[in-house]
Amino acid sequence: MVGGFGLNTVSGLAGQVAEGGGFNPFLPAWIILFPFIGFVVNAAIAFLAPNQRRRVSLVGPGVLGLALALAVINFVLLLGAGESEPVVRSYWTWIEVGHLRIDAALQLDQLSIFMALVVTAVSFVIHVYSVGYMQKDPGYARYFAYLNLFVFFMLVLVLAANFPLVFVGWEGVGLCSYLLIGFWYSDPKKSAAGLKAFVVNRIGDFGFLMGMFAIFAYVGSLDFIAVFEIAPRALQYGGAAVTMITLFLFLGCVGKSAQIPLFVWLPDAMEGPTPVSALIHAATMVTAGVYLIARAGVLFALAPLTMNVVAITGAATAFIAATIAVQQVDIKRVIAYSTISQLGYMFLAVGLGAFTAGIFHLATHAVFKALLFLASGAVIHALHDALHNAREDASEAASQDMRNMGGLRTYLPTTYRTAWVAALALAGVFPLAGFFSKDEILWAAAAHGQTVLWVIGVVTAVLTAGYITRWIVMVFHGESRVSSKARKHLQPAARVMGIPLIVLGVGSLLAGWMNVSGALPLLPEFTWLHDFLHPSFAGAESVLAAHVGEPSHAAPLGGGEGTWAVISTVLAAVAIVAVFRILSERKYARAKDAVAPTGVMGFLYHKWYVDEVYDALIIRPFQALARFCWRVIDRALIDGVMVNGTAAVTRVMGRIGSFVIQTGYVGSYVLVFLLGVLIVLGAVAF
Amino acid sequence: MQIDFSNQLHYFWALLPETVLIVCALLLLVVDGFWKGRKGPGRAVGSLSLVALALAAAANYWLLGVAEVGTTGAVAIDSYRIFTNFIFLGAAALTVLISFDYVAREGIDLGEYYILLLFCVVGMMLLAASRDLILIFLGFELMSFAAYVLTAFKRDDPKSSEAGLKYFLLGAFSSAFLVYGMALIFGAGGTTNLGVLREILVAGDISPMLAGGIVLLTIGFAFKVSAVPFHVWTPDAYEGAPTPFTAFMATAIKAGAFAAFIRIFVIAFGDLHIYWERSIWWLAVLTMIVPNLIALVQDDIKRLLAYSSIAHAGYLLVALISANESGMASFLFYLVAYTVMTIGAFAIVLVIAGKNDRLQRIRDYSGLGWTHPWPAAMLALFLVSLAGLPPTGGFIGKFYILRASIEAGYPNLAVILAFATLVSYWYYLRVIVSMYMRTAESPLPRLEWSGSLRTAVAICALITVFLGLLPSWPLLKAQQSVEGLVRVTERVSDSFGVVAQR
Repeated sequence: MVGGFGLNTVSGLAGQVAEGGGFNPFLPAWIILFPFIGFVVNAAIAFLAPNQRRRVSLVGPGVLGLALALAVINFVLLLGAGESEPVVRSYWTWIEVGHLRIDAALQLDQLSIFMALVVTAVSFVIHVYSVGYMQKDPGYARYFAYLNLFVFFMLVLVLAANFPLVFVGWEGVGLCSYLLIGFWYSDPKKSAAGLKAFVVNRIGDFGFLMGMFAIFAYVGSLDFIAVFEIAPRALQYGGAAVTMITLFLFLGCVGKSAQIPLFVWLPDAMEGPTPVSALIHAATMVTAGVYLIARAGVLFALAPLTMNVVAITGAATAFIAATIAVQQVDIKRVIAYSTISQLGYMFLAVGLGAFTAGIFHLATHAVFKALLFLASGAVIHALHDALHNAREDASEAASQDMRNMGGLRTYLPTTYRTAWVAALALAGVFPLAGFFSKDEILWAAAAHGQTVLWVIGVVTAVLTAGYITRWIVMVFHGESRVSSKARKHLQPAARVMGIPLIVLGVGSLLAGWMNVSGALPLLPEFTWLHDFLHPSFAGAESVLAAHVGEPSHAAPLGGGEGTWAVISTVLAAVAIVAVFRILSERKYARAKDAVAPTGVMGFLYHKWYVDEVYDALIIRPFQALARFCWRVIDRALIDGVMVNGTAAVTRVMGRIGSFVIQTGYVGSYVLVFLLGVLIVLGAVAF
Repeated sequence: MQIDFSNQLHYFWALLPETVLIVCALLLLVVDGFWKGRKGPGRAVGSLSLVALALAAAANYWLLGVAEVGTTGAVAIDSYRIFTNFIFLGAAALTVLISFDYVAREGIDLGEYYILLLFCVVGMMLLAASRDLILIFLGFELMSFAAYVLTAFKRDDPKSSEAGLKYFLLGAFSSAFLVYGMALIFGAGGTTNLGVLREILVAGDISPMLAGGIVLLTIGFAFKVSAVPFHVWTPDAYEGAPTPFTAFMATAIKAGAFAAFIRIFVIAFGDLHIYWERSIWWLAVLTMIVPNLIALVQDDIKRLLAYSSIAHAGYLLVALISANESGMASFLFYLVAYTVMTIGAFAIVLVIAGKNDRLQRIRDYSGLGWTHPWPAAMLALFLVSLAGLPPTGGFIGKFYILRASIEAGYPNLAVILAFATLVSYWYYLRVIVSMYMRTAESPLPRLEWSGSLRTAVAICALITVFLGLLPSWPLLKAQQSVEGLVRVTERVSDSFGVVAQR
């Protein structure tokens, strides 16, 4: 298992070809470089000629198309190579200090290529969509520059061959997220949302860094292949060292992937343009945590305590976020909480050791969640323009509030149909994408005997079906709450926005079929993704097999996988029908006349008061402490006495040196010279 | 090729880069004298001097493949010499590139300017090459005489003449110390050859004559590298000299002096470490602290950079006193970084200053970041690097020096270096603050910076950033250049440092 480890020489962009069972990657560096070139070109345009929209429209999505093509080529090559070892391409030595040697190296294996494929595919579609969505924005070139840069960093993250390089991508996507959330930076609310995302992510980054330091301290390397080969021997199973490492890494994942308790930044991140929400805050960046755990599966498998923490955090997040989604009224925030909830599912999966199930859900979720966001983007876009043209309140709050929508299905038919596909996929209805991946996760919980987590998962699945149906109904069905004047101005989305919706809709229909569990009744067994990703998870699975044993194949309440798959689908279907029938009849008050719900619903409407609790428990005491530090310690003590005092003394000394010694007379210089001679003599003599 | 000094002719091959340069310089003198062009010989001689430097660099590169027999020849042929030679030649080339505009503007567009510069380079190349005290003295005088003249090159400017005279008087004074120290060492060891001295002089019994010789040499070198308190000539000389030559003085001349300093103290007298370590320890501490404090109250940017360059000599002294291979490697690395960032900074300063060097106060830089974004950004980069912030070569260089000093058992020096750096942030950042956070008082006249100057600045900036982002390769080269030069010995501890683990 040493595919290329240690082979690191400077050899230009061709890279060092390492041994790898038949898999010979095709220009892997260019998968990353194309988006970077796009960034450079678009940034140049943004600076020099911001109105060159046509060039931007060509370059921005174009480079992604090229990257996607390369990802597909490499994917096909990898498929042809069978179960090959990971290939490491090293380009140059980045850092070399003592025993630490970090290369700018890419690891090309099943997991990274699959992730690169998902990232480039979704990114490409969303870039195309953005051409329509951002067409009238004055910051068009800047937007595409950021978006290209984001994809560049995201690909660095998934293709990197060592932890520090992952961290480069990790920080880079965080930076782009910050830049894009605050894209319309003149609005203080949006800037604040960007800042919040950045600050909350710092907590996670601290965990990532500590985890990385600990890995180097205990394992002595930071290269993936070396770490995962050495770790099972060097680290005791369940020992303090590996538990600490993985808990720190998980803290990083909690921040980046918006899990309890750090999920508060993601809903606010919806202040960014909607395609950004789709790309960064649903499909790619926020899943980085899941990817990291899957990548470091060997380490996590060695730490059963951490695995439990991951699974429990995931399940709890899935449930809590789903309940919050039930009562949100902002079209994007519902899906934002849904994203948090679905990320919880993924963490539940990887926490149970079902890495493939986690990655499977990551991929299907990327497709249908991107579609949900793009659909809401199309709705917002249409409604905003309509309100604007009708000279009504076209503010963001007004054009994103679902209480101001309803009955839009006749005006936005494409959006309406694709949104239904995505919603059903999310709700886990057979035969759409979410059904297969969610079923795998739930079944993993059941098979590992985690009854509580499994029950939470099933309940959350029902809640999911409920809230997404409510979302559909409030936006598209029932009586339209758009004023008749504005309704006349409603225009369906342009083709450039409609086609991406359809592409993703087809994806949502079909993506689940890449892995069909053999236990499902009436369906052929087709475990392609399992078999494909198997080499990447073999290390982790062998550790689990050695210490945990094989999972049972029966649910805690009896019955096999097939039975429960049918039961959960039926439950979801019942929830969909019930919610649909109840809510279609309900009359909603428009946003400006609405009263906030009370009781349990109010509790959910106010998002479990998490922001308020953080405010009271953390932010306020912190601010009080900060104020104390500022006024007493900093201003009086440090600034007053220490800094200004030192500065005054130093400046006086400087003046002495400058004006007393530096007189300009050669005679006095010779005197100083002789003084120096005495110093040297004194130093030697005494 | 193999050099064997029993064959006298081989001295010619061993000194090929120096020979090439000196022949070129003499030819240029002839060109200068017989020039019949319309616009005066300055520009042409300057361009040809670049060719001369390139030829010398080629000869220097050729030396890489040359081996020598033994280590007692009067001229050393080792990678250390070749590496430093490249620094001198590079610094000289950059200086020529930034001089064109200046000499034309200040009306000193004469061929001698460049020819003297070449002689100066020959002197410092001799300094890096010689393994003989006499030859080192010769190199010093060759370098210094050219430097005295060039400092006073603006003959109509009383400041420049004054600076040249002061530099000359104090330089002569220090040369006396140097030559007296050499005499005493000759008396103690019976030879002036450093290769031989290295074998005879071992720690243990040290005669008063040898001790005296080392003290006097220390003083002489301290003057040449402008260590505190032998630095008093520096601010005046730097301020008065033509600005491109100030950059050259601050980088190449200092590097030349350091090259010989290390050749004598670290390579030849490495075994006598405990005898010279204390005095240089104090010099290093003073040189790091005092100029950084004085620089805080400077308003003239040239003087500010002068004090900054004195402080950097202190950092280099820390690398020297470490006297181990990583110290030497960090010295070479830092020298490269220091050279490019200092020349770059002076280049921008001379552009901003305008005719007759009118605008040299920090106040004159107000709002520069908005009115002249490119020069301001470049200057900010060089200042950030001088301050030692990532991602620049200045940061990495300082980091390596710190590491070397800790390895050598001088954590106290490392701490002092860090604190001195902290103080220096104030005056470096003050300029940046002035450029970006103040509004311009009066708009600057149109800046004149020709292609050659822009090229020089671009090269400096690229190298500065390159050293900061990809330091591995240059560091590897520096390490290879000093491999095996320092004798691995058991160090004795004393009150100043922890025992070095060797």
